[in-house]
Amino acid sequence: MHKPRIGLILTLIALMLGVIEMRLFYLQGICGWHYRRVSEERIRRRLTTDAPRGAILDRDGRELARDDYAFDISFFPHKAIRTPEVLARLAHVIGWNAEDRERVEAAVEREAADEDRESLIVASNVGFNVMAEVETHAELYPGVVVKERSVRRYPFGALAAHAIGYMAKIPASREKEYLEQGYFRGDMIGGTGIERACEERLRGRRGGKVLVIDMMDGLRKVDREVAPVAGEPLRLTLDADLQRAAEGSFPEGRGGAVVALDVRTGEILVLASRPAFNLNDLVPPVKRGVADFLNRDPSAPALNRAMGDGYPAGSIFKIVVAFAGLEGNRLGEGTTHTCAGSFRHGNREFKCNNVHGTVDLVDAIKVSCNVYFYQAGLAAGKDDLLTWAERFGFGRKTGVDLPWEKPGFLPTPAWKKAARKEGWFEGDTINISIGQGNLLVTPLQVARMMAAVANGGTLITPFLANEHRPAPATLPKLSFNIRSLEVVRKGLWKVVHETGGTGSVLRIDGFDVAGKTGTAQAGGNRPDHAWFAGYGPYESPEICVVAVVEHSGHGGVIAGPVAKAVFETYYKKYHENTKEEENTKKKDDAVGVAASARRTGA
Amino acid sequence: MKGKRSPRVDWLILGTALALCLVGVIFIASASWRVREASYASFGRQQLIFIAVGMGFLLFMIRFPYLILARFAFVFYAGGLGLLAAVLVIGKRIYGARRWIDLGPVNLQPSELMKIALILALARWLMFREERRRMKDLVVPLALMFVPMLPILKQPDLGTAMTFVPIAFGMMYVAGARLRHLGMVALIGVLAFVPVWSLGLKEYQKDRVRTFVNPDRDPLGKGYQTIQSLLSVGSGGIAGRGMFKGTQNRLNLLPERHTDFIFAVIAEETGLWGTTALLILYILLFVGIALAALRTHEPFGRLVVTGVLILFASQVFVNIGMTIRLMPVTGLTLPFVSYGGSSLVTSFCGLALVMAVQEQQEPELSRNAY
Repeated sequence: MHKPRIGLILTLIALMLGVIEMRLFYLQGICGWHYRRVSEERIRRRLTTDAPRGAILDRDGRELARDDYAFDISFFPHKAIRTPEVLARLAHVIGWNAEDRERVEAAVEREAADEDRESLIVASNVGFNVMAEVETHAELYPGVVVKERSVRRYPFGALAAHAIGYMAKIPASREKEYLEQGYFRGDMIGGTGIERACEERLRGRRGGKVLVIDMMDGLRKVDREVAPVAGEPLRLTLDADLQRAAEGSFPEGRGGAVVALDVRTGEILVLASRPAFNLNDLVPPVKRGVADFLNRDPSAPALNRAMGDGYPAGSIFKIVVAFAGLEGNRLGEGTTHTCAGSFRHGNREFKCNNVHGTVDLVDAIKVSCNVYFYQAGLAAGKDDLLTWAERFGFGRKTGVDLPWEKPGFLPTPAWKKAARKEGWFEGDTINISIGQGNLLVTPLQVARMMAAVANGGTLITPFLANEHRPAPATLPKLSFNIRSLEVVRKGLWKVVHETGGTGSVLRIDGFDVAGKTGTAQAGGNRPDHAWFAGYGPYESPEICVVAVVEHSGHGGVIAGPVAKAVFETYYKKYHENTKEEENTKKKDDAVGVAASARRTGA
Repeated sequence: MKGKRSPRVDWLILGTALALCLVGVIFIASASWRVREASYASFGRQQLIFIAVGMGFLLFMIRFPYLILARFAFVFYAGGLGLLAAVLVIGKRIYGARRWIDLGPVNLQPSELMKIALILALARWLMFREERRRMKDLVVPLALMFVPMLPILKQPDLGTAMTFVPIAFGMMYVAGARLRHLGMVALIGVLAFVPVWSLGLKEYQKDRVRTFVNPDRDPLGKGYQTIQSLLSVGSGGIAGRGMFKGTQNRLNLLPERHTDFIFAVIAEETGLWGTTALLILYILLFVGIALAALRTHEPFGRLVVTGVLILFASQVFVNIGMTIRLMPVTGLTLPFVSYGGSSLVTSFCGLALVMAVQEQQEPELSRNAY
């Protein structure tokens, strides 16, 4: 036998152990920290505590949106004993049918095999009675735990649905950005309306803790803890009473919008869009029919018509024409034109809604004479007309604190040249003089114009959330002559108060309303859009209201009553009953809403 | 032999073996933490009992005239084959493999006994043929190796079967076979691998090899064990997580951790220092056994000692190799350290053989005494 041969074998063995040692040096010495991190992560368990979202309140403190608690039933398969018996009892209390029960039993069986799994939710959103039963008779439900969860509720249902807005999933494209801000995958964020606009204020900040398993006794110990922070409540300028009046008086089955502003501040008192939807239906789980209605219905219920789309302005726009003529000295209070039912310019015939005879400017506003304004517009000229339309804020966004505002459209010669490859004709001036042609306006823009007329020329920025109240000094002031304003105001007063005025339906005892009707051609042989825009009280204006009802007919007849309902409610709430005013005063003082301006004005 | 004198004990061998046993008991205790019950299972105490039994056997065997074993080597071998055949018929199935014979209080694992029987039989055959260095002299030893592998593979127990190959080759080499011949046989074996792969291996065995190549292929299934054990070993780092503080170990994330994967527990809790120390213990043991082989002039004894050396070394390599992803996962224990009666008994048998051979050598005799 050969002695060196045993030495060779020993060498081979030593070599193999050397390979093992090198591998260990690589795994433990070089990659050790990486593996250590991975294994540390495995003994940590992160628990989170949800924080409720802030409530949304109307100006009187009524809850328009709030977080309620929902109760989920979770089941810990590992801690449970007599599982079938417990499940049978749960099935009875919750009211599962055979199919539900089979599904739950299958899930429990599956999870029981998974040692890492803590618990599973066997029923979500159960009633209060189920919660109470399980909590009070815990001994009958081993392994069953009731878990609380926040869920968004809208106590007024469909009221001001577009202004309040609803919650939506984080869009996949921006998920990363949101995760960095502390959101979790699957969280809901404000999707539309003020829920979206004030997300930062409303959102609750999740709390949480990290539990680490102690190696010696196997118990979990708190390593780090962060308390949850509830979202802040948000008080809106919206008045639920006025909002309800606007929505309640709106013609059934019609599309359109109602806007009411405090003309002195720009506070939005009413912001309604029709058709609407019940916000509670959009709280997950959303039923299929609801989502289809919202996204696919031809009536476009999701669209906020107060600001998300433009309408032809119709006669409402005559206010701008009057200002343009008066300020350019091409139109005077005494300027008269004779209306024979139509106006001929070139070889085109422009119609009037009636035969008005000889009328001056104030009467032309009162009866809404087209023939008068065709000539007034031509006299003022397109440049002044468009300048004043622009000054009143048409063709650009109002800057309201809500998402997805549209600027409407103000046609200009430059646009026409670029888009239509033709010049600006006098026919275009004639059309825009009665608010037709390519001009598109949003009800919010019209409300802002009416507010400027009412407050003496300040172009306010409408807002819903008190935190977005603009500083008064930053608001632009329209520099028109006080005489021009008085002439226009007189016309607007006569619209409502004189025989033959188009808005006589707006007469309210004790509350003088001034305004302008509009009956805008919708095109395509469809019925006209009905407009009314007005303000009150006439002597010291506080509120302006704009209503538009799509494809419905005459402005004064259809839109007038909607606006009237808002004015009336406002009058009753803030003027008629001094006692009520006292109450309001106390309440306002208590919550510190800046409503003092209203009371001094009253 | 003079009955009265105290036995000559090689303390290098016995000392390192007992040190390994002690390491085993400590980490088996750590690995028997039951996280759900928050208490220790009794594996550590049981292992102590096994060690005591092994030591008793060793003390008995050290005076046993081992040459008698040479006479009965083929009888043991045949008996081993008989038990292997029996296990296929009446064997107890654990984890899908039929490896054990139920003997009431203990389970007998015949493939463990077969390791010793194979070493004895090969030594018996090769002891008289040391100068015959022809290719055909290798036929019988190869057959001795190959025949018991078949029922063991059938159990199936790839790991144990795999240790037979280095034992046979190493013993043939020490007995005088030419490296050229052994190389050719090995080449034929490798070439035969292709039909064996497609016909001979069970699907789960193929899966183990496939998963060894890429454990991420099936991280929750067959790759789980490899990933967990890599994580255990790696997270030990240089200094370890501390005794009884390995998270992988204590949270029961590593299956089979007190038996086949005890090395991962040691690595996690003691780090690179601990694993290196363990390897040094094994090196010392192997050096001790190799020195014993060199001191042994009687060919049967020398071949037996060599066989035991290779048996231990290959088990160490395969066992540690599988925890650090150098080898596929096979059910093979770490000698003296892993929990388990059969494994410990086999290890002590090997140790007893080595010590008996040592004890009964007469160092003053010349090398041509036999």
